[in-house]
Amino acid sequence: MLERALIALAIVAALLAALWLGRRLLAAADARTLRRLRAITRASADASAAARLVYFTTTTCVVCRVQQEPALAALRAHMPQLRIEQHDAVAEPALAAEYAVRSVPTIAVYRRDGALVTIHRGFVPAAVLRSELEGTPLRIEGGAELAGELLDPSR
Amino acid sequence: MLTLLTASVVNRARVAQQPSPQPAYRVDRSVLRTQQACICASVLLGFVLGTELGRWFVLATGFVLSLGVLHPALALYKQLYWRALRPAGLLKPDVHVEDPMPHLFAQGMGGAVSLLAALALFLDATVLGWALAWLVFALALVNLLVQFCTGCFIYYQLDRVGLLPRAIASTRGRAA
Repeated sequence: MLERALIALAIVAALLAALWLGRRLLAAADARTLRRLRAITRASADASAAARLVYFTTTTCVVCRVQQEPALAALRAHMPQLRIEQHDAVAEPALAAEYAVRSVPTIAVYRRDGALVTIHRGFVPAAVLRSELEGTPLRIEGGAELAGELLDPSR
Repeated sequence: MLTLLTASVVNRARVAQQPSPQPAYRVDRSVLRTQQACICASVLLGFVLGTELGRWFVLATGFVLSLGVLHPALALYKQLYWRALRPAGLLKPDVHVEDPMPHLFAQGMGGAVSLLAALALFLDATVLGWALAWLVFALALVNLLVQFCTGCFIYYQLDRVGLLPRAIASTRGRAA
């Protein structure tokens, strides 16, 4: 039994090491993508006069439909000048590859000066996007994951 | 490069507490984590105890996962969470807005592979049997630790190319 326990331990250790390495590689790839896209946006910094979001979705994305799009609609209501460029990641694979889209929703956040702030992978609350677009700190006391009510300008 | 796109497979969506127009799309990830931990424990224990006894653990895992697809009451690992861990306050609900169907599909896949593994072990194909059992273990561990659901990924790929039956496709319940 000891021999089998040691084999099991070795397999689990190998799996954990592979997972750790995989995560490191993904993080490095994301950082490279961000650096590459930031270099492009710096080169054409005056190309955009309005803040914009590059939003990747698919027709089967439930989180996009149920959660992300209402949050984007709430954000647009507060920032009418905001440009939201919606793309189907499956229909536009080249663009999706450029942004290293691995899951949806994925949102690239560009400020008014054209600077790429970050790329979010997964649902992002409207309040987080707003603070990034405006360059203001996000002050939330509890419930940081929520969207709509945090757009209340009185808060 | 990345044409293998998935909808919310890398599960990084955050907790949704805002009202949702589609309340059916809710998944308590604590249930999933409990189930994944049980799968890992079962396979690990089965392997350590040896094939003679361990194959029963693999068979039990296969049955629990497969029957759980048919009815939640038969999903014993999930029942462990609903009836013991959550009431005892050991685990808290972690509810997210997402489609539960891909997770159910993944569970069915895990059940099928576990049953195949058990069959191989009972037929003395030990290496194949444990290889399949460790595959189930590995995928459950990946889901548990990094929230990447391989079964969900396969579900979305099949859905994308229209290979899923209408009853379980992501477009189920919508007008044709």
